[in-house]
Amino acid sequence: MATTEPSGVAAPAAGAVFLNRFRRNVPGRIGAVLILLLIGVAFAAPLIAPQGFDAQDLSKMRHAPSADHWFGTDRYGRDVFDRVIWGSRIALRVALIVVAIQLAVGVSLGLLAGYFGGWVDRIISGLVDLVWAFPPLVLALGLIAALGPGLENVIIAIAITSWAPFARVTRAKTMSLRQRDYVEAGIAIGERQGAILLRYILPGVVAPNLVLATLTVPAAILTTSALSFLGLGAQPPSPDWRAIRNDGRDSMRDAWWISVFPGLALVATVAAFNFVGDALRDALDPREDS
Amino acid sequence: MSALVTARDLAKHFGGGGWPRTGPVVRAIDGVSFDIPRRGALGLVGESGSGKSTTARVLLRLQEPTAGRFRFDGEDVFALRPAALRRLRARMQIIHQNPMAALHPAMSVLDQVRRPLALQGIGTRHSRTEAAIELMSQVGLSPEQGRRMPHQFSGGQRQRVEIARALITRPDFLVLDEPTSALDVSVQAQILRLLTGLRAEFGLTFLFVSHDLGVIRHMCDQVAVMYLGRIVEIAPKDSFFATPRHPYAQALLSVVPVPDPAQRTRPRSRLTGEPPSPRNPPSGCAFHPRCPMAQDICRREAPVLRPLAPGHSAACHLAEARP
Amino acid sequence: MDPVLEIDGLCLEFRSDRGPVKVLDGITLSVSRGETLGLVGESGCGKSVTGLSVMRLLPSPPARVTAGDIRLGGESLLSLPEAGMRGLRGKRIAMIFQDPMVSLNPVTTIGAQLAETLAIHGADGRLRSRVEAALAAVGIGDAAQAARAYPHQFSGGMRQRAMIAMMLACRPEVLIADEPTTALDVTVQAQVLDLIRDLQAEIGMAVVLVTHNLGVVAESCDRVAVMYAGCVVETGPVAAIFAAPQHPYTRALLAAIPRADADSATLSVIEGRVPDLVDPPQGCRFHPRCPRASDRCRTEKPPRRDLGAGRYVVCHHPEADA
Repeated sequence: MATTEPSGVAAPAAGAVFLNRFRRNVPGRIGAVLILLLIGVAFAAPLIAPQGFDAQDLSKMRHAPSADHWFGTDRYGRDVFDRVIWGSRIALRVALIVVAIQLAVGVSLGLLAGYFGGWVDRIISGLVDLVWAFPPLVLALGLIAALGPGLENVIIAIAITSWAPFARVTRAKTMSLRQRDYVEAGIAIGERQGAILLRYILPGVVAPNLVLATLTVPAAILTTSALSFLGLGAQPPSPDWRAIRNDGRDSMRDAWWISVFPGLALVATVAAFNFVGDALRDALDPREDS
Repeated sequence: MSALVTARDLAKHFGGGGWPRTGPVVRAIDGVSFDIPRRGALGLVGESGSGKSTTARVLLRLQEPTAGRFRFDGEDVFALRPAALRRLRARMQIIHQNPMAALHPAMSVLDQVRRPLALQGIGTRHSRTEAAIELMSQVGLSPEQGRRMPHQFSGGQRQRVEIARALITRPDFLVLDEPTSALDVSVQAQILRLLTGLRAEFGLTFLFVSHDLGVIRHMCDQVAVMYLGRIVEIAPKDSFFATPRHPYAQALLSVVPVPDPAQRTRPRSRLTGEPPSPRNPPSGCAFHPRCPMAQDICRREAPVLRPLAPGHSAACHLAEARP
Repeated sequence: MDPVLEIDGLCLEFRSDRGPVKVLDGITLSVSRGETLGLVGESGCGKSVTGLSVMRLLPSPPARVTAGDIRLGGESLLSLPEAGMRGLRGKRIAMIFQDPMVSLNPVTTIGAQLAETLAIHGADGRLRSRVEAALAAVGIGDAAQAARAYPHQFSGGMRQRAMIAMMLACRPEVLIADEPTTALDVTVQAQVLDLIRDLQAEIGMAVVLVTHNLGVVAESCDRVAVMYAGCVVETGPVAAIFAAPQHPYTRALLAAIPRADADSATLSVIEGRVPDLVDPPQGCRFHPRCPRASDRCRTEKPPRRDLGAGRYVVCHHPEADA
């Protein structure tokens, strides 16, 4: 009774409330701009850096940043700026594929466990606990040992080791949604079980999974980078940011730009996703109870 | 008149299942039986935990019953397979207590009202939309409002949407689970008036669940009082309100606040204590710890429903001894 | 009788994205020692806000008092510094809510919370026996065991009793009870209302009972103030108002209740909806829904008419004129 919303007026749309809240979050806005920039750069890479990430010019080895080469050149005379630009495609691809697999596996298992309960829930929850019990990096290393090195395998390994939180969040949300009157009303008008899951419950688990996805992207990018750093991920001459840094590691003293610029790109991307994830969580959270 | 709804010995027990077995069995309802004639209206009254909502849900198989039989127009509902049950749902519908929660938050109101027709395979897309718009105007909503989402409506309007959705397949039987408890008095009056009109027009049979005896008296022609999962009294409305037989029903009626200060001095039977938990029910008659006239037999033996007047039964060892 | 608590022309706004919401518009009320005033109305009419503004528990912003005053024993509460107000709350004015769980600490026993309240209000030594006596006084049997229980182990009715025990520790002059029995079953509701009445007789405090239930008002109040859209539309002795309501809203509201004690043929229906208080109707706020509305009602705010015998109605065309 503390709020006195007059029942005569339509409440503002939930979407509008959400946008309003999101817009007020400054880091969230910065993050969103950075992510849009990343996507734009990834798409426009052939326009921004038409000579590709691999064009060598052995006459210009390890040149410092200049008007011609904003980020300098590496030991093969490749333009670091061009490589960083093309590297955005890799970062984005890692993020998208990992998130897609996490969502597909985690959300479907979570929905089944939460909706059906009983032995279905016990089996799925057991699997979740099992996957969760392994340190992801160790599990990923094991998988790569089996699958062989390479970016694709790294992505698959990361996805397989990190869907568990999605299943758990979805299961909990599904269990609470299943109790809602509108789901019961759906059953009462004769909806089939599949429709109940897809049309009534699935839309309700989108928000928490969206937040979770945004917050796991940085982890996925960093783990990929770590594996690349160990030489298991992207292989030369791939412009993966961490691989470029790896390249520049030996010449840190005399050619700092080779390491620093891809590092900045990595930090900015990770921070951007974290900012957006936090902002999403804050903007979506108060609606949880309504 | 033949009974449209015949419920026999409904029971719903929770817990006790699973592996490992978890905790004691909670008997939410037990041995609940009643008939509702076609076009009749049975009011199910009780306090929280009495099992009145569970009874409504078990009947429509929104919760699977533990035991019992439910014949609906001759059909054995509890024996139906899923597909047949879904078809039968066109004929029995439910209105929920909280109109804020009972509508799909992300589906337009028109879509929700016409959805049951699509599920039952009735009509064409166009005729379904027509039917939904017509019914919406009949419950007091304008067609333009159909495009809107539930959160753009007030509580009373949402209840109208739910009523339209429940009636679109022209059901015979409507279960109303506290349909106006979340609404203000003036809005409640609007919805009750609407329901009365629709009941006559559509020839509906009601199972009206409420904790409000005033609403029950206004809407029903038969009353059943539940206490701790069992029916303790069932009677025609007039007989019930004139001479309630069970001491619990008497107490309930005497403490309902009446908007008439002149009645402040009426005799009352004040109950002590609170309704017991179904987890830990009292021995014998479940009401004995609060009953002003409990005797030894009440502590030992559970009373059964006995007829005391035409159509009027109560489950009390001592009911006949009093006028 | 001298009023203990007086609210005089109180106007209050809430800041919102769509502009100020005029939640209270000239509330005038008073309640005397030993008297129970029922503050009744539908959702959003401002009855709870009125109670909270007496306690000065509304966060400001967004709430802002734009006019009027609230006086306790003749002393203005609105001009009191927050420190002074803190000294009054729980001492001279106390409040209980619909959901006692919001006011009880979930991780401390009932006994410890009660002991703390008693200690703050100057009880010395033998706290345990004082606590048990306080619990027994509100009808909690086996007080020793109850004192060791945590709030979640209590039923709704027991929690409300515990809240009342705490409130009583300081023997307040005014108790504001905001829907204290709305979440309770009717048999328990009757017990809690009886308890409040008994304690009131004992201490002589004034009670403001905020409720949506006209039945509860009829059963347990001496006077009633009917609120609509931020205004008190009618006030006076309960018996007189229920017998012959003067404001069309009061009349319609009373006729809209399905009664358990008599057959009601048709329920009266108030057409339309509660207005949007960002842009309330000109003149009388009830006029768009009023069957008797005239041009005057659409333009001119109705005066507060004194009908004698403590009755007031805020209407251009009260029933008596018809």
